[in-house]
Amino acid sequence: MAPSLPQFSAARMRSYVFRLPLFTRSIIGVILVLWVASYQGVFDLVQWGALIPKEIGISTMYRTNTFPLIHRGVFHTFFNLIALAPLLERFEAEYGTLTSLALFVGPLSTIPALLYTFIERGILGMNTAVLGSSIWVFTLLATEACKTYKTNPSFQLGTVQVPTWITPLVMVVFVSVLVPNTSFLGHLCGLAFGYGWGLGYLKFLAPPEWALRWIEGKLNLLGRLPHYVSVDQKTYGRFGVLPTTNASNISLPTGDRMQVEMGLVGTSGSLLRRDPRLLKVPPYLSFLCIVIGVAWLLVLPLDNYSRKTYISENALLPGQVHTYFAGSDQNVFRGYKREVDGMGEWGNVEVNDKLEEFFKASGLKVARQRYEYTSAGETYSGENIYAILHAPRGDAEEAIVLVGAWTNVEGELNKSGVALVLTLARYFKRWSLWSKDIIFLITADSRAGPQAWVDAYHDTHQKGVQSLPVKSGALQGAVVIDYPFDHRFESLHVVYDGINGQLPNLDLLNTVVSIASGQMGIGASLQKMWQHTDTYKDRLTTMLRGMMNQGLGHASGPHSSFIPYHVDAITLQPYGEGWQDEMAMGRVIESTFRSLNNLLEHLHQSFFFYLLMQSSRFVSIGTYLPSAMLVAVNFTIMAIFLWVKSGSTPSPDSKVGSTSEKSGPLAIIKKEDAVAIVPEELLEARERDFFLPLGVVVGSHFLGVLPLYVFNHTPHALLPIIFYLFSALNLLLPLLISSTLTHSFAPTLQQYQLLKSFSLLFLGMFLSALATLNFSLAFLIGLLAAPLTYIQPFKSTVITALYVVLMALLAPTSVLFAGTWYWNLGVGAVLREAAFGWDVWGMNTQVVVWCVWWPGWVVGVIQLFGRPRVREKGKA
Amino acid sequence: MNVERRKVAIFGAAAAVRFLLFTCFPGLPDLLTGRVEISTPVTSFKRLQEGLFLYNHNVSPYDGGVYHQAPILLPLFALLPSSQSWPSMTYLLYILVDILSANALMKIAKSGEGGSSSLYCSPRMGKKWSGYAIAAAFLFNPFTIATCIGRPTSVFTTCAILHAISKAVVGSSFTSMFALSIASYLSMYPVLLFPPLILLCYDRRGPKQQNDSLLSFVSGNVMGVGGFLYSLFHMSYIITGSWEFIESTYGVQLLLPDLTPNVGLWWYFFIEMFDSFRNFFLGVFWLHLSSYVAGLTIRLRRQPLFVIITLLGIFAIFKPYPSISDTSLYLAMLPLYRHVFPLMRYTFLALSTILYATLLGPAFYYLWIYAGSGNANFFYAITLVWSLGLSILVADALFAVLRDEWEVERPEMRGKEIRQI
Amino acid sequence: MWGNKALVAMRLILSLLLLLSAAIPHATASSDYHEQLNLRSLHPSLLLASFNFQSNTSLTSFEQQNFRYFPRSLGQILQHANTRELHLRFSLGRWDAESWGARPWGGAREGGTGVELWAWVEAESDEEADGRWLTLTNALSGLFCASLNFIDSTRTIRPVMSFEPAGNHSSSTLDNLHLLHGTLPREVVCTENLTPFLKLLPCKGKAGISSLLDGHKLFDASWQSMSIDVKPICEPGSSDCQLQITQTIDMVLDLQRSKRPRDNPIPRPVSYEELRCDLSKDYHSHDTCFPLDAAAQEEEWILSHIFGHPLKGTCPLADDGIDPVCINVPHARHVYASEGAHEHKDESGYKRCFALSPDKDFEIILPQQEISEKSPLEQPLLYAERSFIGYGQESGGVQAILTNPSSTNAIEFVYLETLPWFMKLYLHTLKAKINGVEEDIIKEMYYRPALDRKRGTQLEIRILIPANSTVVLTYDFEKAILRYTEYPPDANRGFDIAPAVITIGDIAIRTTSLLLPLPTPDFSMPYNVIILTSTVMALSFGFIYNLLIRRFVAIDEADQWDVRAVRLKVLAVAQKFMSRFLEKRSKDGKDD
Repeated sequence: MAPSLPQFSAARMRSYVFRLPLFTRSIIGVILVLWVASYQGVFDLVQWGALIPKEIGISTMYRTNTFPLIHRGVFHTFFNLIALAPLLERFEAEYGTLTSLALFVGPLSTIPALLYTFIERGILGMNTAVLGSSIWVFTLLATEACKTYKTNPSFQLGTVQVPTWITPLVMVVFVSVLVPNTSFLGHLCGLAFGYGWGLGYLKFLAPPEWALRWIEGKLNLLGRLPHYVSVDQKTYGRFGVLPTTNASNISLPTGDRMQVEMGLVGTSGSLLRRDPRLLKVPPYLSFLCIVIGVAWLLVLPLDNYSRKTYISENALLPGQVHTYFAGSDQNVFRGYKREVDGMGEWGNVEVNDKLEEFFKASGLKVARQRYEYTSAGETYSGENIYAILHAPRGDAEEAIVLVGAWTNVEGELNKSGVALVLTLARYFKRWSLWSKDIIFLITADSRAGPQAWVDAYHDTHQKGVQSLPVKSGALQGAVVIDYPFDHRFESLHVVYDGINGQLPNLDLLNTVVSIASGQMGIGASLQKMWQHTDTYKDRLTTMLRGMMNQGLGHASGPHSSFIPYHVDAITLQPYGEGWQDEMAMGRVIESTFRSLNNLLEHLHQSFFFYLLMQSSRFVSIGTYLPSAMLVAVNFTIMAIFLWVKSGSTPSPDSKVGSTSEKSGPLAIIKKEDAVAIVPEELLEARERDFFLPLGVVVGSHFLGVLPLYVFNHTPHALLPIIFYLFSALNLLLPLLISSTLTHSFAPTLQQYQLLKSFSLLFLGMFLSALATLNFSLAFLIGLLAAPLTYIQPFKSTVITALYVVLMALLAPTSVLFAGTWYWNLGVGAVLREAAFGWDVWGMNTQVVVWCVWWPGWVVGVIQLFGRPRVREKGKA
Repeated sequence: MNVERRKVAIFGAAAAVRFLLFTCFPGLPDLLTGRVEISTPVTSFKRLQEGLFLYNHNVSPYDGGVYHQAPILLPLFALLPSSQSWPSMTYLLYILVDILSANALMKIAKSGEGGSSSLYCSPRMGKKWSGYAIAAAFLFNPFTIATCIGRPTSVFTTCAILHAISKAVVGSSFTSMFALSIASYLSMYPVLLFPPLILLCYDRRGPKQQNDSLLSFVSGNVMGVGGFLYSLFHMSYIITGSWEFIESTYGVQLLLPDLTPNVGLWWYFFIEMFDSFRNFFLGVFWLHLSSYVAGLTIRLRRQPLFVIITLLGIFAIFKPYPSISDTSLYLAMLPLYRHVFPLMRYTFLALSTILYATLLGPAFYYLWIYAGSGNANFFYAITLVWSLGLSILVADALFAVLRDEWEVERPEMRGKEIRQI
Repeated sequence: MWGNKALVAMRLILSLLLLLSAAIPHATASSDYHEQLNLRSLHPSLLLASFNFQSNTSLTSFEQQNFRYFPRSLGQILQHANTRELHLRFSLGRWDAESWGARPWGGAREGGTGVELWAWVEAESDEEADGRWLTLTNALSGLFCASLNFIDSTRTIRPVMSFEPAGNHSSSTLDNLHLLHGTLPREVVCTENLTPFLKLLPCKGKAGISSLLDGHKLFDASWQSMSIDVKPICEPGSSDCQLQITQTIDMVLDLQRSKRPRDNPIPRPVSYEELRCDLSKDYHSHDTCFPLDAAAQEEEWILSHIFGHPLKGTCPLADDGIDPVCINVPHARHVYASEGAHEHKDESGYKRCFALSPDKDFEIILPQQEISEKSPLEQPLLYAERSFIGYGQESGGVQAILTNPSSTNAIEFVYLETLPWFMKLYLHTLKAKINGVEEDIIKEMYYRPALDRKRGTQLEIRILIPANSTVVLTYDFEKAILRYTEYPPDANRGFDIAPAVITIGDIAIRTTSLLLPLPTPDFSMPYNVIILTSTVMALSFGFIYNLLIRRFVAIDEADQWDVRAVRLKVLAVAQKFMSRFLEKRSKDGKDD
């Protein structure tokens, strides 16, 4: 066939380079290494390794082997490499790795070297040092030329017939003329040997084939070394193509070789399965993903990755207004304070009666709301009271909320907080500049009360919760005062995380922080970091605490209930012993409300996804998301890998280009005039029976509903017992399932692979979806589930045992138990909190734990106990 | 007999699952009806209720921006007891429709058209799933179930299309054309299925039509479809008393005035499109959608059923108002070509992409609409991924079928790597 | 003969009738222009001031372009737009019915927040009416510096049940009168609307009660409303009609706030001395104080402090029939007026009016006073509240709570909603609950659904509320997402929804307006979206058409790239070239 012009493609070039066989690679490697090494100044490599005729002696024989590997300068190296690589590859492909090794370390370099030394020194009496692999190039060129000469002896140059074996000679001449200081003689020696070899006079130098076979077999080189070219290929060229002596299709073997080689890198899935490299990489890759994911998180606190916070919404103008909350209002505050102190022990309703009077006296509209929740067999009830300050000239379109819970999260009486709310209500009434209504809300407690109120405000309340008699416009923001003590305070603690790890707009937080620290000179701290020396450690701790809170997804204060309704809210807690008094706190609130009052649009400019590592330092989603995504992706990678693997031909050791005895019978396919032999499995794509695995995985995910239901609907008294029962059962369950599986279905290895594949796929999907909703939870669970990536039915019992222990430790139940032990809370308390969160806050952390993590864990342990059925052709 | 029992078992199970979902989770139907992935402006059950209400109170539903569905649905649902007071009636209707679709699907599978059409017989035809498996795959596909619970009117279109095909494979072109015109009348785009469907009818035509030429056959059926459509339109005219339903029903699909988000590619594109180019791009999009018909019909002349399947897949991606019910239809039809699955290359990739999008879509929609912490680009990006995943699947199936055909010409090429030039 | 007599008698009667008909107008046309200021103190420490300016012009002279006290600018607009009756409202703030009682004028002289306009336009057809309505709105927007021209087809409705013509129109005109109604809830009323408003008055705010009106005070009020009504009034049975224009301004002033000096308006904390504390509290001390509210006693105030400057005499054009200033306080309350003013006490016991001297400044002083008696609050007919329910930007609901406070008589009213088209109302979800139980209390309903980008929703419901019971109306709606060019610059603020109008007979009550947040696209995206979407489409088009039009071959049949192949190909080319070259040579050789 007439060769048409080639089109170059980088992909093929790359694939070609990837396909270089072992010896060629190693030679290239060595040359490169030596070249690099030659740059060090310690000792003169060139001087040491070059072939210097006068130096040659018994002790310096090594030079005859080293000189081809050493080069002088960059161009020398690379031109030689480029010339050498293809030739060497062809040579090795034809004679096998071992042979090439034997030849090139031995005769192929020594003989020409000795020849050269002899002529140079003995006859010409000169002493020109030679080095570089160019000598091999010409040797190989010569052999090639001889081969070509066999097939087509000459080519037509005009009228004259030029014999093809001339070409190397011509090239030597050209090179020595064109390229400066090349050793003509050296090249000639190379050529001489090459011709000798090519014409078969020197074949005796090659090591005997039986020996090679023996070595190969003994050492199982084929299995061990990648890119190893077996000896057998000599029997029928490469890749089982019978060499045909038909001049017309010289390129046929090439063609066939290309076919399979292309197959290896071809984009098609059916062939991806056959690529050993791709089958090796993924486990390491996914491990890498996990490592990078964690590392990524750890570098975030560094200055280069985190940013200083800034205000995006220009309308806010924090701290731009002068605040007037002082003077005689302090007396009023003290008055209210005394009243509140007096009501310390009163019942909810009496308190509200009194508060109603106060609000009415300040000329505000007052309304109340009763609520009652039942969770884990307990009822939480109370009555909220709130007053609305109508914006003068406003039209009830927008509103801001100032919340003071009667008791705070710890259950302490929020005395100064409530008094401050009352005083501010009276004070704000005097101003005429409000563009939004202001709602003063005093909830009965900090957990159920705010939830009941905000639910009712949006008419999504459950029954048992009254709907609100009076309403205002769309809520634009909420600020909670949590000030349960009398004395002066040192600085502010800002609590910002909402239910299910949703966060308020960063602008709100920035506003408060900049007002407190900038305008009032009050320090602000986060996540209970009472003193934060801006060090890496402190930043990391802050971030991790934040992530823990976010991951748990519980309400950390009255503000949390507002956030799911897209109402940005925060809680301000004064703490410490300092010289800041209540009025300062009041001024912070005043200034904050003036800022919120400026808002034209709902807060939307700044970030909603961020990790804070200090009151003025944050990481935005773009920077931190990859870490969770990487952890999630590792599952997906493994899932895809297992899918591919489960579909691939089961003999794991069928190597590139080697049709070893193991691989199945060969099918001979006749094509026009060439015959190709291809292993048979390549023809039939392997079928997967994935119904059983899919069933198991989906089933286990549905099974997760059971614990979810149980833990959210048992009375709290029973919770601990139930928990211990469950965790005991939990360790047995996978064993049971696994044994039933093995007995009733006897799953094959492939089915186990698919089982794992599906389970990991689901895990990866759920986690990456979750990472966008609640980053921290996704990250934590991803980390805890990471060992599932490497679980499989192990052969050795030791590993199995170790893994069983590991999995037992990483079971959701064990983790939960460990957590409770670490924060020394009772299991019962934690579970009750969880049930409360589920019933009242609509917290869905449990769903993730029981319906995403737990099933994954169960399936993992099932595999661990699994005993794959040995198929006749299944395992090799 | 046993066969019948299996059929009954499958249908019974499917009906039971649906009915349980309807009854055990009373909130679920309305929740799903509200999901943009299921209900589009042209199929939403809630909008149907609104239209029905207006219709019962003698306000023209088409003189408003809410109801864009076919007039015939109004009297149909007016006959049912209202879904507020007697929801179970509506549930039963939708379950019934699903089962009818499954039945039609089963007929198609039985005909074996997938493996061996009259002009072409696949070497792999031996490897196929029984009609029951295929029907089950359709009935228990989460997408189908969700659609059934969400009660969009697209299920009627689905049912009509499937019946059109099932009639076509047994060669009764008249009924097939009737079903097709119903489908097109309900939601317009099925009319694009006419060319492959008519070819299918022609290939499977009965003995008495054996001798009439393709041209006469086609023209006859064109007349038929035209007739059916005209009568349907006229009936609608009588029902609503004016022709304004044409503009409000089909005009909306053509001009896209309602930009409610959905899983498709149109809505965000036309939200962001500059006014001066809007009409131009509307034209381009429609042209693009219809451009596949000719190409596929000609290239795959020998397997018209697969042309229909591929077209359905393409509609599910590029319709003005696609929903997962269209996807479920495509996924239901695909197993008819089970025998080419081994030739597909990106099945896993495509399917996992679709799964990812299925999970991430609602999450991002929540972030945009409810939490307010994400913006529209989140959901838009997911619709892109979804469409890409689907189109990979469609293209891959097409590749497999084409290769299957090719290997008939060149049997020695089985299992070989091939390229396209 | 007999017939003759009868004829005479007939003639007599006719002439009598003529005389009568001639006499009546003179009787009615007695008052041409009068103005009045009503002051009413509202608890707590608020003052309602309602100004009323009214003038009549005979319709005939009006049609002859002979405007007397009627403002020419407005008159010409009305004539040009064939407007027979006009009602224009500018209002700001919210009337707090619970604590302030019934609205001034029973709500007949106020509109919803922003600007509200409705008029009866005479036209043959709807199209013509729309055209004239357009003319009217544009002209008025020019006249009042308000963006009335934004009242387009999407904001205009034609109420069916709600509004009744206030004037009396001859049945002939009544047939082709078209009522059109439009609102601009977002419009912020401000000084630039007040100035043209004053210009319409005969005294142009220079003298008379209008001299009290000044932007700073008016727009510092907690609630204020300006209205213009133009309507024809005819004596029944007579042909000669009059055109009446009534302008009113009502405002609720916060006494404490308006008493603050203009140079120091900031409400600083009062000094410790002025702090009024509850001394009975045991903990009361120099630094602890439980504040007392000022509910017990009446604030002292002075007219000129409230309005910034005293009242400058009377408007000379106003006729003396009616006292220009009245104040509603119990007679027990001390009121000192500046000399030259004559006080007339009203026998109801709660009202007194003053006749002023034409050219002297007028001043009222009410001292601080402990007084138990308060002028009674007039109870409103209906309490109306409206709010959104649900959250998220996909859909939501509206809930209107209507309470009938009277313990005796039921009330029938019409509830009118005008919604923008992008708020898609689901009528079938409309529910009316009375005292918590669902009942069919909707007597009559008129519904005009919205058309995308063409017109808004119009919903009118006639409901009868029995005595002291509460009706809760709820309905769902869906939020449309708009084209990105259709959003205002402050897209994330939301869209204002006009108040609902509740018509009870001739008085109207309005709910507060609402803020509707819509889902927003990313406004910076157009190019990216176009590019990305097109890419996806191009990709799949490419996938499929590549498969369709290109043919399959085995890999090895396609051109490959590899060392050997390259060499062979190079050689082949070289050969070809050389051979051709040499052939040529040899040919040449042969030639010569």
